[in-house]
Amino acid sequence: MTAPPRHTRRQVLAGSLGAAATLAVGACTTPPAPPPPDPLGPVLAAAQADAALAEAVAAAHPPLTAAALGLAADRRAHAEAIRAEMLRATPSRPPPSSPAAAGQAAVAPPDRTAAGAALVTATRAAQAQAGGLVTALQRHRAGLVAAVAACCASHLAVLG
Amino acid sequence: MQRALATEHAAVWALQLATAFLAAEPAGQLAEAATTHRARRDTVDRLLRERGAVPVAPEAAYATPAPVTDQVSALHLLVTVETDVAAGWRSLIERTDDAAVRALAADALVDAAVRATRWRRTAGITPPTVPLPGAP
Repeated sequence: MTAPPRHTRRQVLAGSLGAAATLAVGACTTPPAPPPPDPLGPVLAAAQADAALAEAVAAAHPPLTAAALGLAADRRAHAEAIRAEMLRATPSRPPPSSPAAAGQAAVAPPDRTAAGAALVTATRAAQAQAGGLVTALQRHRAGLVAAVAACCASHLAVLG
Repeated sequence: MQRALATEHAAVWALQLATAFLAAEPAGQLAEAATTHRARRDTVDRLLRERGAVPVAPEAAYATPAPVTDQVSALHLLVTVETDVAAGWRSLIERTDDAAVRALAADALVDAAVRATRWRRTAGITPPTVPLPGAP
């Protein structure tokens, strides 16, 4: 059997003063600091930008149309899946449904070889970006970015 | 991890079966795929033993989704196999916080997606890619 802790009047007073101080600080800091940016934000932006680039290349260079449209469709699907996950995590902060640089349409390089190379460069960067997050995120998000990276790798096999 | 191992066992078996039906050019890719799948199988086997688990053993034979009688049906089987392998690895990523295991699984998921795409192209299946490999 242990005796219940005994508080002196001074201790009790000090405690309530501390609590009052905390409340005052809380009141001063409204509105609360915004939550840290979602690490999936750049992955969403890249997926949206890549889809726009691939669509522009598909329209400008018929020999690349099939591969570019396939890439555009998959990158759009990535953007949708990532956006849904960001929205699930922070419903109060809906991520942009179109690229941040809206109004600035993607332009395909006029040269066909350069256009193909631009798709390869973008897709390779996308694979590295998503793959680099596999060990850094929560489990279900890790699975999502790993799948995005794997899809980008499979497009590199198509683009050659 | 046992699921990833089980799909790798099935892949090794299916690749052996497909060898009989593939022309020379895809057969070269088949040999490369078989080597990779055996290496992955051995890595998972070792990781499981290191963690004190008993690795699942391969089945004597596996049911194929459709009879394998020619190159086209063999390629379809290979696409199915890589799809299953991808699902096994993605599921492992979503069940572990071990960074080394996640990295291994992510590499294996990339390989499976790339090989599935190659088999689809050889078989003339369009589109040759899926947006999220390993998705249920």
